[in-house]
Order: sequence, then C-alpha cells, then structure tokens
Amino acid sequence: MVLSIAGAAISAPYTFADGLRIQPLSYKEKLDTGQKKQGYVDVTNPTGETLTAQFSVKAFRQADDNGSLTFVDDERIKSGITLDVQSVELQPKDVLRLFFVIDGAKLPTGDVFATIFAESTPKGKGTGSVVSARVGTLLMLTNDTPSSHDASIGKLSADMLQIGEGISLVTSLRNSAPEGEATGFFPKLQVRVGPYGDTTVDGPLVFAGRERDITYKDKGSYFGPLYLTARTGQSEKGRWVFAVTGYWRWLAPLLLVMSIMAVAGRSFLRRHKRKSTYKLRP
Amino acid sequence: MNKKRISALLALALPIGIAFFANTAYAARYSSSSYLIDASVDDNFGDQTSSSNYKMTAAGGESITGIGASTSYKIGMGYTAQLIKAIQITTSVPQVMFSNLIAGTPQTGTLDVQVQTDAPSYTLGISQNNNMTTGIYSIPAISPGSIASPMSWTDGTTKGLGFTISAASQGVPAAWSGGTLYAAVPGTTTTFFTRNGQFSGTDTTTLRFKVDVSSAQQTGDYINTLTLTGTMVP
Repeated sequence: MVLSIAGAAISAPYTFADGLRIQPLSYKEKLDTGQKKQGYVDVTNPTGETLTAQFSVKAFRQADDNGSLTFVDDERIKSGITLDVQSVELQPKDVLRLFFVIDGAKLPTGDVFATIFAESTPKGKGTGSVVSARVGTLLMLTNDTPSSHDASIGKLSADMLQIGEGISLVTSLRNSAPEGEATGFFPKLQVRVGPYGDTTVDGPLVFAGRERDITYKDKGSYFGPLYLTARTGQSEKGRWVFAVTGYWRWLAPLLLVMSIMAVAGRSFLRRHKRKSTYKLRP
Repeated sequence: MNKKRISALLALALPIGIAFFANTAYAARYSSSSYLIDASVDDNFGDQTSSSNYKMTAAGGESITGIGASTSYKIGMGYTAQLIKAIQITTSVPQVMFSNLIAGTPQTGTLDVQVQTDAPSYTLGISQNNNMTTGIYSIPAISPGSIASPMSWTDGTTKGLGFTISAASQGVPAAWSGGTLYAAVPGTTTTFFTRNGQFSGTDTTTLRFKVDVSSAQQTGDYINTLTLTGTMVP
C-alpha cells in the first residue's frame, strides 16, 4: 500500500534560514525587599528575512550533573518579571532593545532562576516539521534574604605526577540540599597549593541535589611535593602530588645534568690529583 | 675560593637567574579548551594585570584600529575589545521536509543548527509542540528511544518520527553512536547537545530526522513544530 504523506513538499523553494540572537547571556542581580529593577536584552534578527519574534519568561532548573537546563512555567516568576512587549516584527538585521522589570515583591524570596526567551515564529507550513529558533538570557537573582546554602566537595582527582605549564586538578561541588527542596547557588571553591598559597574561584551553578565538576588550573612554576586541597564551606579534600611545572620542566633536567657533570668533574679532579701525588719527587 | 669553583658557581647561577628574571611582555590571542581571549591580533605590547580590586586586559601598538565589516564578518579592532556576550542560533532550513512516504520505507530530512556565542559553554535543547498531525490523525514518536537513551533504527520495523545527531563540529557525541541511534523529540525542552569551552566562528550541529509509518497510517499532509533552544550553561 502506498501512502502519500508530505506530498509535494520536496521541492518547496525555501532558501533562507531561521534564527535569532540575544544579548547578554545572563544577568546576576540582587534585589532588596520589594525592590524593582529594570534591565534589557537586545534581540537581533540575523537572517535576511523579516521574522516575528515572541518573548516569554520561564523558570529554569538543572536537569542533570552536566548543567543541562530545563525550563518550566512558573506563575510567580512570570508575574515578577514583566516584558515591555510580547512580540515584534524584526526586519533583516534589526535589533530590538527589549526592556523588562523585575519586581521583588512578586517574586519568591531567596534564589530565583528565570529565563527571558526570544523565539522566532515558524514560517513553514504544509508538511514536515517546521522549525522555530529560541534563545534565552538567564536571570540569576537573589531576592531579599538569600536562601541558606550548603555545598560539599564530592571528589578530588589530580595526576600524582604533575608535569606541564602548571598544576591541574578536577574536583566537584555538590549542593547538599535535597533535590526539589531548594533551588541552586554558585558555591565558592578554595584551592590551596600547599605550601605556597590558596586561590578562591567562583564555582558553577549547582542546584539542590546536583554535583558539578570543576577543572582547576594554576599556571605556574612548581617543583617538589605539593599538597593540593579543595575546599568549600567546611568541606575539604586533599591529596599529595609531585610537581615539575613551568620553568622547572627545563631547569630541573638542566640542574640534574650540571650536578652529574659537577660530580663527574670532581671525581676526575680527585683522581687526577691522586695520580699526581703518586709521582716521585726528585 | 679558587677560579674553578667560581666558574662552576657562575655556570649554575646563570640559568637559574635567567629562569627567574626573564619576563616577556606580549599580547596575542590566547585560547584553550576552556577560554578564549581576544586581547589583540597583532600587538607590540600588552598584558593582563589584576589586583583584588580590578582585572584588566591591555593591548597596544596595533597597526589597525576601528570597526570592519562585510556581509560575512564583523570585527572590532583596537587597543581593547569588550566581549559581546551573546548567543545566536540559525537554522539551515525553516522546515524539515520528507519525501513521499511509503510504509516500511523510512524517509529522512536534515537540519543544520548553527550557533555563535562567546559563552564559556552552551547548550541546545529541542522540543515539539505535538506529534506530526493531519486533522485527527498523527504519526507517533518512535519508542522507546529518548535523548537520555537513544535507540537503534531498524528499517521496516521502527515506526514513528525520531532524530539523531549525524554531525557536529567536534564529532558526534558518543551517546548517538555516530548518528545511528535515534530519539523521540520530547514535548518539553530537553538538552541534546552541550559544548564546553570557548570557540570562535560557527559551531554547526547537524540533526537527521527519520520517519516511517505503518501501512494503516492515514494519508495526508502531516506537520508539527520543532523548537530549538540555545542558552549558555551557568
């Protein structure tokens, strides 16, 4: 039996692409009690065709330990973040500055994660799967009193022998809050290269119940045993490594060769001196 | 101390001294799998400096400054440049189309998703508004293949609409087994591709959609909407 599905669509003369661009990638803001703030995103039509862009606000959360995001409708977030317009027609290469207002009184208190989306209205019709492009700016807000945060070090791994431009380690940060009972936050990670000192870096966003990997690299010249420590809050893990990094990669072998030559030379001189002492004196 | 010992000490001290005090100031484009710095293209001097209060990337001595553009590029040239911090998605076609479908003989269509961003990493998600429909009839999604666990496609046996990643700038992710495993397009946005690390230019991911129906499928023009979502990974 022959079925005609998607009849004559094969030769449809589509030559343009769909697409959108949004700027910036994210906002990180803190709101005092009941405070309102205004911001904007720039939405660009990068295609050569006129398109209609639609705008929306959704909450987001992490779907896995890789940082993948999932977006959900949330009435409180939708009412707390209002957009100037809901849709607009953009000519080719047009840029729209879309203003929005964040109302702390309407948003949940604590850590709030939302996305402003710009989505192209699909142009295809007839048969097949029409395509819509959607890009988002992430809003990572602290509304009023921050939520309580608790993170721990999940793992710490580093090559026992560190040879290269610097020290490298992989650690992970786990948000200790049960999944679903809290949102997320950006834990601070303190890395200590003992005995030389420590550095504090901002970790990635970690939602409740999630664990994110961080690769830490400290470009520098180290030689000898080092104790690497990763710490967040009261949680800490460490391990010993032996480092030959930076200029020590070249200097250490050079010193070794020079030491061998010095020892060999000294030995030669001693032997030479000893032979000299055996000579009969007139 | 005799002359030989002094010479030996000097021979030892010289390379150490050079290693400690040699410090070349330069600026160029630096990149690795985890960062990209456009300090300059061809500078005579410059460096990165910072304290607890500031961080600065400086570059100077460039022979050309200003803004240049054509239909295919845009460039900001100068002593310093601000990162754009944006994400752009374009698709090669506005519609994935399939040839006339004969039950038992699957048809395929491809879609290139092009991303430009200066995000440290980005993610692509996909969703559909509904199964492909015509009137009250619809073509179901393949089952049980999902993005988390794609399934192999057996021609003549597998029925429905599915997709796979058939090409990507850095290679097809292992989960898709070189584009041989297929997943149903979910109803809610689900991440199917993540790229970590900075890159320049356009990152293209090619999706191949495949569809087949049973002989009982109602004839008609079936359609649905796919939404491709791109954001940075925080």
